[in-house]
Amino acid sequence: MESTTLTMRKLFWAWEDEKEEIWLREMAHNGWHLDQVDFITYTFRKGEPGDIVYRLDYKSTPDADLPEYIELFAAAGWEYAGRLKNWHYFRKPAGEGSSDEIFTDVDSRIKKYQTIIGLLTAIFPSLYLLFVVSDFGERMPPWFTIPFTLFFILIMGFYIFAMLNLINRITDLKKLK
Amino acid sequence: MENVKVEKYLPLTESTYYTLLTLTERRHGYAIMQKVEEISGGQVTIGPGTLYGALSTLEGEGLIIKVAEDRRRKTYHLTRKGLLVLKAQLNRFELMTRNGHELLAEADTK
Repeated sequence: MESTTLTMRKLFWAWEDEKEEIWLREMAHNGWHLDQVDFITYTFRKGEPGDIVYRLDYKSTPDADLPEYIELFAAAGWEYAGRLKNWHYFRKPAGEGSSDEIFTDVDSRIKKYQTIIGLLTAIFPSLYLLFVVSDFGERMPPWFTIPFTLFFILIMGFYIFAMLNLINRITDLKKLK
Repeated sequence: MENVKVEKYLPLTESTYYTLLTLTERRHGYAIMQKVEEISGGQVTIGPGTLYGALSTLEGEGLIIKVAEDRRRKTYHLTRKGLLVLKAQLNRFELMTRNGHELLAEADTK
């Protein structure tokens, strides 16, 4: 019997959301429609091939207004296709309704990445505290110091990598203005 | 009387301006999108992502206020401060338009 679901593992960074949107659209072209999003894991359901546009929004506000938020997109023709943490996935047939975009100006597209930068900035003090202030180095057994330091460097490296990519994304968008 | 510094909110983006403009009457999100398309003859479209962000920001700045709420939709209206900002923006647009017409008319007669 032919399988009707397909699970794929794929990693997209926060600044690659447009790449992810294009990939989801290509999957829909082949009849695979997004069913569920998990970390690095996408589940698709087999259906009619179609030109379906996917758009991702990053919502940092509390979930209390989620029904209203989904309703606002639904009223504009967008079907709710799932979420991963603060990322919300919407889709609609291409060319239907007034626009294939959920963001109709560059400012709001930039704001999406600024929100993520804001959240990253907010966690920086705790990263700093974790390593520098808590004086772990002295309390830890010596065999643990090296792996811990390496782990910390890895985290900081990723932190800087993410920040630079997000800033880069914003710089690119500002050129469109 | 409260002294409102309207300049710090100017210039408004096109979507923010149109959002404020349609909230001179109480409206919910979808009604805002529809009204903007209607009055601009389809030339201005506000997507739901842009609108959701604009509403959160404007509410946070006290330019609009929630006047009714059920589970699925919230209705907003302009505040007094929002009205002052909107009028200040309109004055600026009028100045820009007038200047534009004057200088272009001069250029045409040369």
